Amino acid sequence: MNRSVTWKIAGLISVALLLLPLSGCSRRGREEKISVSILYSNSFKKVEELVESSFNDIDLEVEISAYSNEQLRRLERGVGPDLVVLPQPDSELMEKYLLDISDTKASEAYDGTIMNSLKLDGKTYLLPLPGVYSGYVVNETLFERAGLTLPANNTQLVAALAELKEQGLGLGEDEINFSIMSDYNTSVGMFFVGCMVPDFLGTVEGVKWLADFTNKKATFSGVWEKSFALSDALVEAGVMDPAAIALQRNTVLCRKRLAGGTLAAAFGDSALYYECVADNRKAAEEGTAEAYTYRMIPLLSDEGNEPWFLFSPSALMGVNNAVSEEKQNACRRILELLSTPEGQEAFMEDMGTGMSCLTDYQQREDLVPDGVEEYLESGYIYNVLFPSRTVEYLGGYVRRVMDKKCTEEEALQAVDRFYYEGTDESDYDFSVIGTVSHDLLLENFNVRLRETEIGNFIADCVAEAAGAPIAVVNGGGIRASFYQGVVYGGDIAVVCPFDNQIIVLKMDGRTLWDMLENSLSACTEEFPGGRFLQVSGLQYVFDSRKPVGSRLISVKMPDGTDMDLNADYQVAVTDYMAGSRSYAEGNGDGYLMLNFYDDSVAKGNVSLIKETGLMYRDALAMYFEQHRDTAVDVRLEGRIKDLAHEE
Amino acid sequence: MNILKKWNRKYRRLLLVSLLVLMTAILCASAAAVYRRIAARTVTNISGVYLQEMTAQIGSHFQTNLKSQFSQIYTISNALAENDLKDEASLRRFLKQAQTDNDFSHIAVINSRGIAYSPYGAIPALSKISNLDKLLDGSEKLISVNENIWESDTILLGTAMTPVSFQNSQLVAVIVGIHTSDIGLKLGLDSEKGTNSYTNIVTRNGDFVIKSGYAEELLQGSNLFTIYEQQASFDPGYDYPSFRTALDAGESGMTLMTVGGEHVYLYYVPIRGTDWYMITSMAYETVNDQIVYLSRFMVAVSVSIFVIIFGIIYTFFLVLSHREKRNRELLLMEKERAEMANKAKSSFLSQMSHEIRTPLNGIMGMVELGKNHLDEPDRMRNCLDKITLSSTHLLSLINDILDMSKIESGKIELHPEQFDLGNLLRALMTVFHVQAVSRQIDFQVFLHGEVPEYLIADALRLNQILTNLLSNAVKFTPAKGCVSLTIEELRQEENRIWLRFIVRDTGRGIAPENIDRVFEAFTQENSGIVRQYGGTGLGLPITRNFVELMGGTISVSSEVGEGSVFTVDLPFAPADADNNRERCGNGQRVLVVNQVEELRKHLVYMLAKENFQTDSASEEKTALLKIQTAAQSGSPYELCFIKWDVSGDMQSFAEDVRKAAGNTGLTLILTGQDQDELNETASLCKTGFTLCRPVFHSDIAELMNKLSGQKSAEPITEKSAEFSGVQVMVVEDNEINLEIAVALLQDAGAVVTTALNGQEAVIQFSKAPEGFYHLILMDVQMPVMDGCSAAQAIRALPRSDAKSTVIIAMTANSFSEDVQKCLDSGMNAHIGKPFVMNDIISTYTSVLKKQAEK
Repeated sequence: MNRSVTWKIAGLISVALLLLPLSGCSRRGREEKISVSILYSNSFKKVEELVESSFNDIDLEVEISAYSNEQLRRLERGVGPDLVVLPQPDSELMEKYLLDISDTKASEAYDGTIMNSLKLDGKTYLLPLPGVYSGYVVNETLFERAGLTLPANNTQLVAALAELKEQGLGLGEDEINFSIMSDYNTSVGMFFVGCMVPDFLGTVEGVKWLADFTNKKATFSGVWEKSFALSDALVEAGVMDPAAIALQRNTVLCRKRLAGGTLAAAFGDSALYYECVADNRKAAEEGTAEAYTYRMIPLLSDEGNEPWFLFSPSALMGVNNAVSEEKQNACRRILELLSTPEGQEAFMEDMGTGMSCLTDYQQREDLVPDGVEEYLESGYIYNVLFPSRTVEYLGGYVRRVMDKKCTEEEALQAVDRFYYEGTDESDYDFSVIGTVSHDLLLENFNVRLRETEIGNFIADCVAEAAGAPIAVVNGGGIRASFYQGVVYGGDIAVVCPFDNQIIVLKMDGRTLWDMLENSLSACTEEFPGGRFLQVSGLQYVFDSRKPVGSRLISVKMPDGTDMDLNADYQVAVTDYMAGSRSYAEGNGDGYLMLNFYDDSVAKGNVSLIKETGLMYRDALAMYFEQHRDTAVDVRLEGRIKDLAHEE
Repeated sequence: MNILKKWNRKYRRLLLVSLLVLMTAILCASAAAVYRRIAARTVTNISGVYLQEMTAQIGSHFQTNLKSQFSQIYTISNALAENDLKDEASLRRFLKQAQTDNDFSHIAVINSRGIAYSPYGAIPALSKISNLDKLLDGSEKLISVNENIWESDTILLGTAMTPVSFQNSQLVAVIVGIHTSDIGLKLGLDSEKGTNSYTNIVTRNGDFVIKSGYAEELLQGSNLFTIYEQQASFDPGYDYPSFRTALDAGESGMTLMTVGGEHVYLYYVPIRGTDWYMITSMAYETVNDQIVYLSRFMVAVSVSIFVIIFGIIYTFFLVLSHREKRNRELLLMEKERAEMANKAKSSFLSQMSHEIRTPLNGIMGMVELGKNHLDEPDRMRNCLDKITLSSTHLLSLINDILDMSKIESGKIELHPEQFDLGNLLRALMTVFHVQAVSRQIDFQVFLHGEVPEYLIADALRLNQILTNLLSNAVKFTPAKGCVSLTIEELRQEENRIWLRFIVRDTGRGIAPENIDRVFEAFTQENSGIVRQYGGTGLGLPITRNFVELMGGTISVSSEVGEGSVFTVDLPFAPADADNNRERCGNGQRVLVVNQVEELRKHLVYMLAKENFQTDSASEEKTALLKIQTAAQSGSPYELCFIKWDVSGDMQSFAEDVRKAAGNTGLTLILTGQDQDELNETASLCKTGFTLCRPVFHSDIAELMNKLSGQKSAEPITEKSAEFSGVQVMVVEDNEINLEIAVALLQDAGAVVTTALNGQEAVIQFSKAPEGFYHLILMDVQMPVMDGCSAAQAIRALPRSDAKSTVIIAMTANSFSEDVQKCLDSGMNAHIGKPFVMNDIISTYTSVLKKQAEK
């Protein structure tokens, strides 16, 4: 090796040593899309389209869930969606599960009044989706037909509805012509807020009260008792059914009945208004209903004050703080996108209406319902800015009041307690009652479409508790998932929230067949009905492509033999299915063949073996009690087969 | 094995170089890091002070401006007159006017029922303005952003007013809207435009109260702290938690971060009387650029200083190493030279021992031979002659060696004294003329121009120098060759006269490669020369040493086979005697007859200078013709200077001259360079006048004196001093030497008494009657009393003969100092041991002559 080579090598080594700290590890490229999930009652089709077309690295996955508490439970379980949509602000939840998004442009894009009320310690966690106006959606045609002018105060409202009922206008099978949108506690609560606006919240005292309440210096109780006056009057006048509000029967399908003329008025929002208008136009075209005109009227005063419409964001959106940073960043980008006029448009498309809360947004006048414009003009639009889920809780407790489970005072105190003391988590039973080996998921209405593990599990529990060889459980009664790991006492009440009693009926094979056929009648992909039955002790095959009424193909017993149409079978069902809430307005899920309780319609070919006095949740509790040491490990067994999916 | 070792070495070098480079890099990097850190700290410190001041100013501006805004609002409310409250339309007009006057984007008054009256109508403000309740009950002023009640991008400022009745309610508060782009200016937050700074007002938890217009694009979000927490990267030493801790504690302070791509300083200070914070942000670069410029400049300066220092050190190092190298080389050379000199000395020693042994051998051999032939006088004489010859050679050898060793040991000193250059040259001439004649060499001494006669210098050394050069020249010049000594005045300086002595010969010459070495001691051109020509090889080195000692230079040029030219330039001090002289002539016509042109010309020149009317001739006929002509013309020559050998028959030529001159009284003067020859020829020519070359003023003057004295031109016959009857005291401690001296003197007829030391000599001398001793031969080194002391003692005796008695030193110390010492002690002359009788006789004679002259 000669000298110059030595020097060259020395030089190379030196250069390499010098460059060493400069070179980093090159990153590997990545092509996979980031999947961002949302759980909401709306499919957000336009939003998804916008997001995915704007960001080609993001895949927005919207899961439809009608039950708002499912989202909370998932968040608690750490399996929450990436983008969290809440109906109401919830400081506890914000702090715990949501990301501080105060550093996004979006956080300063919205109206300050709303944003200030949403902030927690000066920080923004939630952004408002386009808002809706709440008030009464009235069937103007019916009022005109009855020769009634639109009411200007509550007394007139009650009188007018009574008059309409008198004239048989806008009445449904349940003999009522008014209801409150009561799918969610929030909308029920909103009605009671609305009742307080003209004479209280819309005054200086009300503003002060709300400020004080927010600062925990004032309470509901002692102030809000008068909010029940209107609902009491409506019930008194027989135009509103408290049981429907209390969820003791199927909720009143306000949209459907307003569109069909079987409801004269309902408390609801502009979304409901536009749905009714659209549905009625369609029904009128199809000839199934008259053509009506609708109008929204504001919340009215009893004391001669100006009436007000309510305004609130239809929902609030935030980012799950437990997800990966990559997903958080994707969520931020989505929020930024949705906080542009373009994003707001997409929301409005999906919701059918909405008023954007963006500060510089040119509102679309075509999305202002008839009757609202003049109030927009005069400014009598009340921004509902209640802190932390109080409206939702108010709604929840109102239902209990309606069910006579508690007094008005107790309800208001409970709301105060909830707000003052934080949350109702203290009510949640955190005692461990068992374990499950893997997630038993309720997702995308699976319990209303096919055999599910959770359905099998609950049906088995019901059969065991009822001591019947066969048990059926309607999918609508299953409202949440079980997640892998321990099961808390509170969980079973969430999974099966309804107070329907398990009963055992004796029926022949024909009735059983008819019952199953009925369960398949609402089995549509779009919004499947809750009547679909999860079963224990038998197997059945159907074809969802076939017309309603002829979908059931075969029913087999566990031993593989075909069911004997003429043989008698003991089947555990619920009293709800057997007509205990009557079959009016879709109650009892149409199981008329099982009618045992409703005297207003023909009895079914069934006989009562026993009333167990147990709810579904009791059956679950008993099961966990008896199998404390074994983890639930339910699998699909082929109890239900849909030929449409078999092929 | 070997390859492995080689590889190993390469590998090690490789490693070393790599390590060195790496180390340098690390050093540079760490230096850079340190520099950066210190620069950053400086920037931070300066920024801190600057920002603090600025924020304080902005803060006070802000509070003043805010207060004035509110008092403005209050003033508006107070301006509400009864007229304005007549109906809604008049109120609107008032508000419109107030809005226009104050340049508000909005204005409204609010009644106790929460209805806001603005120029555009009345709407309920309930649920549309945050904290409306506080505004209405007058407990707090309102500052709120983004409220959508009227229009976007405004900040609402509201304050309670003195309630006034309007319609059936009371107006209790005023609200104005200021556009967000104006608020910064109106409240003095954005005044510092030039400094890239802006100020935000936030609540304690970071919520914006007033967001700077400049921050709009940069800080997107509703909460400043969240923006910092999420998006800012804090500089080392700062972090978000400590920032928040300080804020929560209500402290003011500074932090440094990069947010939104901008590197900024934040200065945060709580605003008094509120729970707000004022947070001022300033671009790091604004301060940093200045500092960086400064520090870069300083770095550049220090780097260049470093480079310069390094350069100097490096140069110094180079020079040092160069010098050391040279020193080493010189040392090596010196060492070599020393070794060579040593070698030369040893070889010289062996050479000398051979040289010394050779005559010794001759002497001893001849003595042995002489012993065997005692009865054969011819044979005996022959032996003794050879002994004498060998002894002479031996003596010269020893003299040279001793001289050289004296020079080498640096013991030579100069003794400048006035001397007569003419005498010195004549003595030389005498010596070398004889040698030259015997070797059939033409030897001439030429003077060019006027050469000063009397000079001051060390005559002894000058004599030695010329003797050495001439003896060399004579030695190396073969028969029929020429040797000449030319003397000319080179130049006169102040107190210095430079003379040039040129010794030419037609000898064998010196080879060019050896020409530099001829002056080096202990070398001869080649050793063959020694064998051919004999000699010690020390002559030239000694000569050079003397020349240099006297402050002159010596150089040589030579051609092999053609001869050599030695040129010696020496400085002399002028002697006083030279200055006041009279001219000898008074216009007499003289004729110079000389066949050698140079000599003729010089003599003519000299005579002309002495005021003679000169004429010259180069041969007999012209001379005779000129004399004849001059005689006939009536202005005859008075003097005729004739070179002694101008004619083959000088006797007849002299007669011819006299004949030609007739009876004009022409005096013939013979010129030549050897007095003996001159005397001989003078007697032939029957003239008593001679002029021995070289001719100086004094010679001519003496000649003229003689002529004027009209002394008969009797030839001076040199009588050798007779020792018969001379009382001589020999003072010598060595008995052999004493015996020799006594024997020699007695042989010469002297009456000899002896003394064994100085003291004895002094005693004997003082005992003797005055004038008893004619001569004392005094050894110098003796026990009891040395020769010098004895001489001094004798001279100091109170006797008439104490001064006149001739004392001659006999010493083996033949150096000039010793000689001088002897002379200084009062002795008349000095002879070196060993000596022969002739030395004593001639010295004694010359001393007597000198005494006679005196």
